[in-house]
Amino acid sequence: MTLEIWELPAREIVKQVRSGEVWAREIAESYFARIRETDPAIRAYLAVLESEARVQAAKIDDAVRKGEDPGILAGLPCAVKDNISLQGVPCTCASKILEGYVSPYDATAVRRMRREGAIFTGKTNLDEFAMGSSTQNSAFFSTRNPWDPERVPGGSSGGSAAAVAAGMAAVALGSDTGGSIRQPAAYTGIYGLQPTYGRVSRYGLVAFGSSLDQIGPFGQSVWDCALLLEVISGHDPSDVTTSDRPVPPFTKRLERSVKGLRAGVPKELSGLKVSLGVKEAFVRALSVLADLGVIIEETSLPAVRYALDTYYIIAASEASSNLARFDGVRYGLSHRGRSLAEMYAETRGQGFGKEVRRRIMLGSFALSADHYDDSYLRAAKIRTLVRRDFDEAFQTYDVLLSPTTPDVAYRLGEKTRDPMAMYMDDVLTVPVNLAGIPALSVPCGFVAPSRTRTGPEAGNSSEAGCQELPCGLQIMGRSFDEETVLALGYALESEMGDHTMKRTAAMRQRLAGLKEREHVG
Amino acid sequence: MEIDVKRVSDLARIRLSSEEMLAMERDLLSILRHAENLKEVDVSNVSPTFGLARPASSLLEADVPGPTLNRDTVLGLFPASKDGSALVPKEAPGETREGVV
Repeated sequence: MTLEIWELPAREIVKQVRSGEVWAREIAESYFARIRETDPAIRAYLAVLESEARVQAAKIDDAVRKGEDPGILAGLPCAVKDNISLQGVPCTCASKILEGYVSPYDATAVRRMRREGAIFTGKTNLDEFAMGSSTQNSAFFSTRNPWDPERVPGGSSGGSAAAVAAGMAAVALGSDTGGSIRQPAAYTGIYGLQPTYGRVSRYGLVAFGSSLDQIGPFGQSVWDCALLLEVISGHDPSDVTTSDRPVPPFTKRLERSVKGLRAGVPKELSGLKVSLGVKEAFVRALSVLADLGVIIEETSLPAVRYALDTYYIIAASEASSNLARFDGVRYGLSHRGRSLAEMYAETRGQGFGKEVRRRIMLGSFALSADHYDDSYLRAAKIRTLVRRDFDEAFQTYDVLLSPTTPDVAYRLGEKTRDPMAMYMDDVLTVPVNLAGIPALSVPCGFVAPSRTRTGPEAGNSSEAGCQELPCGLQIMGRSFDEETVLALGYALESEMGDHTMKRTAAMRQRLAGLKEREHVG
Repeated sequence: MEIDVKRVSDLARIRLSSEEMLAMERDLLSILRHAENLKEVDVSNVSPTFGLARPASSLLEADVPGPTLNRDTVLGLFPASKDGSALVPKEAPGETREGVV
C-alpha cells in the first residue's frame, strides 16, 4: 500500500521538498484534502488558511527551482493555536471578545518558522484564552478526540493536538501555561514539548499567565518536536524574558546514550490520583527505560501537593491583570454604555465566557487588598518551595518521570459542572510551569477508559469504535536541559513508537470511515 | 468562608446578572475552599517567586530605528475610528457623545 502524501513523517516531507522530489504545493494540497475530509467530524480548526498556504508553498517551490535554500522546515504543514499571532489573520483566542480582530504582526515563533519554509495550514481551536483542559471552553465549538469523537482531545491546545493526531497537520504550535501542550498530546497519542521558561519568545502569544506561559511544539515523533524547538528557540529583543543561551542543535543530539541516566519518580506525581490503567502503562514504560540502562528510583517533591492550588491562584491573578486590556476600547467587541465603566463591564460581561470570567474574578479576589497577603502572596511563596523541591531533586537526578495525566481522555460534557473537577486534570502538569522547567509528553501505551470516572453509562456507545485510548509519560528536566529530556524521549520512542504508529494509522483509517458513515446517514 | 461577589465583579469590571452572581459565588467558594490547605504551609522566611525571567546578559538594545505598524493597521485594531483617529467614549461630565483620541 502506498502512503498518501499527508501520511509522510515530517522528516520525510522536509527531505523530499528540499531535494525537489515533491513540491511544497503537492504537500499543501494533500493536507487540505485531508482537512476537508476529516475536520467536519473532528473540528480542530477555527480557520483553514488555504490561499495563504498556497502563496507560501509557491515561494518554497520557487526557491527549490532556483537552487536556493528553502529552509529547514521547507514545505512542512504546521497548524497554529489561535492565541498565537499570524500577520493578517484573525486571532480569536476562541473568544467572542476578539471577534473581528486581525493580528497586525507575526509571533516571533511564527516568523522564525516562516523564514525556514513552514506552511501554516490554519488556526486551531482552544479553550477560550487557553483557560481549560478540554477545548470545551471555546466560544465557538468543542473539538473532538480523533481516537473517539465522543471524547475531548484535552486542552487548552486541543485543536492543535487533534489536527496532528488526525493527520490534518504534520506538526503544530501550542502554548502551555499549566499543561496545555502536554495533556492534549497525551490524550491524542502524540508528542508535545513544554520548553524551559525563557527558551522560546512569547512575543505574539496572547498573554494568559505571563510567568507561566510558553509556546511549544506538537509532533508525531520526538524528532519533530526537536526540529521545531531548534527553529523557535533563542533570544528575542521583543521578549525580555527570553534567554540568550545558545540553542543546541537538538535534532543532532537525540541519539545520545541514555545508559546510566538517573531518573527520579516523584511519589506525589504517581500516587493515588492516577487511574489503574494509566499507572500500569506508566510502570511498563519505566521497565522499558530500565532495560535501556536508565537508573530509576522513587523520590519525593513534598511541596508538590500544594502545586495545583498555588497554580490556580497565580495563573488567575496574572490572567486578571493581563486580560484587563480587553476593555471595549481596543480590539474587537465593544458594548458602548453611558460611561466608560459601564462600557468595560458590559463588554467584558458579554464578551468573556464562563471560565474566563471565573478566573478573572478569582484573580481579582486574590489580588484585592484584603486578600492579597493570604492568597496571591502566599501562593507566590509556596511557588518558591515547589521550585526548591525541583532544584534539590535535580541535584540527584537528570530527569524526573510521571504519567502526563491521571487518566485517559474523558467524554464531552463531563466535568463541566464543577470547576474543581476540571482543574484536577492538571495536577501532574502544573508543577512544571511553576518551576519553569522543560517537560515532554511521550505516548506510552493504550488504556481502556476507567469506569469509575465515566459513570454508569460507560461500556456502551462509542466503546465499540475505540476500546483503548492513548496515555502519556511526562519527562521533566533541568532548566534549559531539553537535550536530555528529548534524548530520553527518543529512546522511549525507539522502543514503543512503532506500536503507537500502527495504532495511529488504524485510527486515521477509522476517521475516513466516520466521514463515510456521515454521508450515508 | 465568605466572598463578596458583587465587589469582586466591580473590581474585575465584569457585569454579571443576579443568576450569574449566584453561580459565580458557588464556583469561587469551591475553588477557594480547596485552596484552604495552602494555609497549613509555613511560609515564614520564604521569599515569593513572582517570575522566572532569566534575562539576557544585556537588556540594552542598539539605538536604531526599526519598522513600525502603519496608521491604518493600528486603527484597524479599534472597534471604531474616524478621520484617522480612534473613536472612544467621551468621559467629560455633561456630555455623552463619542470623542476622538
